[in-house]
Amino acid sequence: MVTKRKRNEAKRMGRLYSSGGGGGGSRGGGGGGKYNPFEYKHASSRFDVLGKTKGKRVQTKQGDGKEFRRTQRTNVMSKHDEGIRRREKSLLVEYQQRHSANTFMDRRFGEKDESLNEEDRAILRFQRERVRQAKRNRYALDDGEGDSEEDGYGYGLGEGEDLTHGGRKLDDFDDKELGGELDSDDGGDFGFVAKGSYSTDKEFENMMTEFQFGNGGKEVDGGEAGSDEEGERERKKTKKEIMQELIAKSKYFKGLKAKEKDEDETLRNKLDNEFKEIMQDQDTVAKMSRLRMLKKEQSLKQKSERKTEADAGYDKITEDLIFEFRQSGAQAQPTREEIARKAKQRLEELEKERQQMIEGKEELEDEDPDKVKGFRGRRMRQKLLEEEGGAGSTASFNERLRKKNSALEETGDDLGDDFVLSDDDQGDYDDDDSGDGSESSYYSESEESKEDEEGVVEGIEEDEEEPSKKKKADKDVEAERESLKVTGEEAYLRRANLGAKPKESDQHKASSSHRTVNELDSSIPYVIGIPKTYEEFDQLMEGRTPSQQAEILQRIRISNPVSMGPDNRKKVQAFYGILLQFFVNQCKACPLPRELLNVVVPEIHTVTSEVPLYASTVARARLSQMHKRLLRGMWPTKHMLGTLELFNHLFDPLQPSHPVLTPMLLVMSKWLLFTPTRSGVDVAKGLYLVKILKRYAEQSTVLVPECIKFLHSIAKQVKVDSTEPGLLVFPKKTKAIGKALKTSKMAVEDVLDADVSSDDVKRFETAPFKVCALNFAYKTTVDLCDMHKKLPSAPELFEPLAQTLRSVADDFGKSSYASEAKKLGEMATTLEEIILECKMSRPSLGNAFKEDVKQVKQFNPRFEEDYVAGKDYDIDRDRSERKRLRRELKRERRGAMRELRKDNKFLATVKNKETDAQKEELQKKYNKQFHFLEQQQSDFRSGGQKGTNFKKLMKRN
Amino acid sequence: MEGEEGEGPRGRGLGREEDDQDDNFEYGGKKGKAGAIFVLENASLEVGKVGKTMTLLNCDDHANFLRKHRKDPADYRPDIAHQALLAVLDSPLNKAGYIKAVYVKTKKNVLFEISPQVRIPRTFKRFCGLMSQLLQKLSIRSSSSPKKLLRVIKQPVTKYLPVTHCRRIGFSRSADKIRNLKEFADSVNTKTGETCVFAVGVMSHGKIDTPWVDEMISISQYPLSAACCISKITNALEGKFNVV
Repeated sequence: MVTKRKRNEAKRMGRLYSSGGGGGGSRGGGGGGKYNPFEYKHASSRFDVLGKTKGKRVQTKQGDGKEFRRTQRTNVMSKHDEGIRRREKSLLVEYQQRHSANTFMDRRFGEKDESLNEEDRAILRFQRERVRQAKRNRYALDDGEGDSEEDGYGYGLGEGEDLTHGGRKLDDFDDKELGGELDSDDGGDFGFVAKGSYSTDKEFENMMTEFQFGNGGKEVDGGEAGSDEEGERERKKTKKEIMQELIAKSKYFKGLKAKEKDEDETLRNKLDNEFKEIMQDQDTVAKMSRLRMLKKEQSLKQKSERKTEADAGYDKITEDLIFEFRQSGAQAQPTREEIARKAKQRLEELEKERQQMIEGKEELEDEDPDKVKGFRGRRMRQKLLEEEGGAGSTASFNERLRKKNSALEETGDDLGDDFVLSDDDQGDYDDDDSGDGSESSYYSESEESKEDEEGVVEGIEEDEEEPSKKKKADKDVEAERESLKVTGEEAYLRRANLGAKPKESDQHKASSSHRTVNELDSSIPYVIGIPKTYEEFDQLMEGRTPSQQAEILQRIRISNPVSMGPDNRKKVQAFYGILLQFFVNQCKACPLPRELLNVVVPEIHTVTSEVPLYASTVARARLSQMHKRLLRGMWPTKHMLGTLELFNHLFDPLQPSHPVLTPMLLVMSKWLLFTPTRSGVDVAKGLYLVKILKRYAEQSTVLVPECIKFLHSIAKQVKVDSTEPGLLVFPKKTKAIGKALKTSKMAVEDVLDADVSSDDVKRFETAPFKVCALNFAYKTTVDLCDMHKKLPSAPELFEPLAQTLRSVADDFGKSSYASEAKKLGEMATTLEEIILECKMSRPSLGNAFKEDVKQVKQFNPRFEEDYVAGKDYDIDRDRSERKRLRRELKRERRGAMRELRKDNKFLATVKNKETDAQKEELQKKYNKQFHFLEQQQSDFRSGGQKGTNFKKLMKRN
Repeated sequence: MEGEEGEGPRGRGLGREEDDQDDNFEYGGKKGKAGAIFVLENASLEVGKVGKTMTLLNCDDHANFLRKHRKDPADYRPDIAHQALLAVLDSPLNKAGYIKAVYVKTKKNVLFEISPQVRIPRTFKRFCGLMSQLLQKLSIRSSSSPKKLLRVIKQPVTKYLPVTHCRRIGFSRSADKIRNLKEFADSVNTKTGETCVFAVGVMSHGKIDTPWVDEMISISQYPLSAACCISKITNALEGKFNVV
């Protein structure tokens, strides 16, 4: 269906293509009156959108701001017509001129514009010409008429040009002056004058000057040439000249600067003088200061008003930062090696003095201190002075000592206060002490001994040996506990620092430890080489109190630090072996020398951290020995138990696979699993192993099922009120047994004290031990269960054991051992509670076994929250840009193709028209000729009557 | 177009490509199996240019805009379509794969198809965004695959409905017979793989114009909301297909 509108459009189309052409028409245009629907059909929008205005928003530039206006919907027909018109102007013209080789182009202004008349055209041309001239003259110099002549527009001068004479403008001359000259020269030609016509030379000179400035018409050419030459000379400056100019300029500017400076100086001096004068006036000064104070107060007030709490905090921090001294580099924390070296030096010095003291105290005393020079002499004089002061001056000395120590302590913490220290040094007594002072606080061990030495010098005697000893032992134990937790460097430092924390006043320490150390001093050298053999070491240690032994061990270590050379490392390794052997040998003793072990263990710990690789090698060797024993089906000896305990303490249990602990775990588990329990001692040993394992498991959270197995096997062997033979059989309670239970308490740890060879072993067959073992088993089970309750399998793991324990406890309750049963029952209940809790905390299986129903897969639609049509939502900017460019290119290409096609169509139309016209003309001619011939024929036929048609004849006439 | 009918229902369309195995899942909606097609009629989904952006018009946010253009704001209720779509696509019936296709026809006479696999945005705002983009772009793809989930299609809807074994039911309150859906569901012939086409109006008031349905029925004495009506239908069919 073609609507009416479309039909109208079609008519127009037809008209367009057939106008003047006589219905030729092109293929594309739909020949002769037919229209091409594609030419005017346009796509309407798909949906009628509410609120959408018709037409595009087009940005128009008007003034500065951006403004938008809406275009009308493009009228396709008008666009089409416009296209045709454009082609008529360009393409058609070109087409028509295609055969002409050259063309005449009338490029006169306004020639093509028909709206202008002749006069206007002339004016316009003139204007254009003037503009052109002005443009050309923009850079030309105003030097004469030459240019204007060239320009060819009159001989008049330019507007800006003035004629001068003798440096004066011609306009300024009076008429008279001009008139005289003009008169003499017969109208205008006043430039050239013969010399003779002037009477005097002066006049001639004047004339010459006039001549030089003269612009007489005749001399124009010559004068111009001269001026041109001058100009050229001016333009071409040599390099030298340029440089000179530059130098001159720079000199000039330098001079200017100097001058300015001078002026400034004088001004400043002047001001200074004035200010001095003002300041001499007291009144003004007072006033000023008052003013300043006022201002300050005001500002402070404002500040405080403004300040919030946070601000105040900030200010405080700022202040702190300002007043905090920077730490001096000289007192940086010493490295480990440095500490070791210093400690060693210290000991060496002390040793030297000790030797001196032992060998020749008299000698020293004989020396006249006044004759001895240098530090030594000074020290001696000092000592003498102190001795003269006697015991009465103890207080003052102590005070000084305290003062000094406090200073030393300060250096440890507060490095910023080295000022105070140096002050002290000046007034203080001991030269080398003050020299070492800053370091000595790091190892108060040496400090202590130094103090002791001083005590010796003063000869103060106090009897507080016992408490000091005790304290030391306590300290050691404490240190041991701590050092078990720490490893490596930290432990080392702590060992070196043993007494670093001044817990009591130094005075007290000095006096209390005096005798001990005096005693130590006498027998223990400060510097002890590493013993080569075990015997040597044993000798060294034999017959000493534990505190002395600790001292010996420490001194050995400090005098042979590992970090001081490869030799020392080897020595220390050998020493480690000896130390471990010593420990093992001590373990063999019964009862166990616990005090001694407490001294040895921390030392072993420290040395282990120094030679860790060697330590692990030694430990593994020991473990292999144990394994051999295990293979023979025997329980470990008591020193093995001790060694195992030691290893457990020495090494880090958190490491998942440890070179020592892992094989150790294996050996211990095997013992528990495969070794039959034949006696009470075996039971005790097994339980002791369980204890060690429990400790290990506690730290590493490793589950050792062998423990549970062993405990279970123990629990199963328990029989109450029975006469059967067995390890853990409780016979009916007699009075003797009851008494034994009340009087003797035993522990599993007693196994370490038991002497296997003697009858002592019998203790482990008695009821008290059995009860203790049972209690231990119960307790350990509860602990283990509590430890592993987070394991998913915990209830299943512990349930059988719990059941056995419960039944044993019940048996006890029914039997004659009711008093013991209560505790067991409680523990069994706790165990059951823990297991129940574990079970309850298990997540329910819930939907785990429900059949999984398959569901239709769902997809999320991809859309934007604020979608704008035409916007590219690609995240990849490059890609979207590329896409845009490609699209643009495509559009351009399509546009170009369309244009070409239309051009073609247009040309085809034109050609068609031409051929049509030609044909028509030809036809016309033919018709004319034919008409003539026909006329002739008819004339001939009619016998000269010009045809026989009567009507025509009538018409003609 | 008529010639293609021999190939089977053309409504397979979205998410129902032949080579789409989808984890070997057997769609209830596969050819030859019973299932349901929903046609939501008279949905008031219309985009308008409010300010500078094109948005889906709704009576709450654009009341003044609509009044300015002399429209009744009460007619612009895209929330009904949202609810209805959620009711269809979130039903266990769909999860089990018994819904073969969903078609929506708007008041502006735009017809689009929604894949039963699409997860319709839960919030209304996001739904509006989705619909506005669909009406401008004419298709929406999946965020994870190039699959088209929604697309605008040519009218009429009948050419996408199966020709054989198909019952076409329209729902109207004004229909003369009130039928129990349970009975209706029982009458569905699963052996022949009968497809039920349900035409439900998702407008605030009015009547659907669906001359192509076989029968118009009413399922309640009360006027029901679209979502309620759809859930009733799906419930009944779930009972029939043993979907729990």
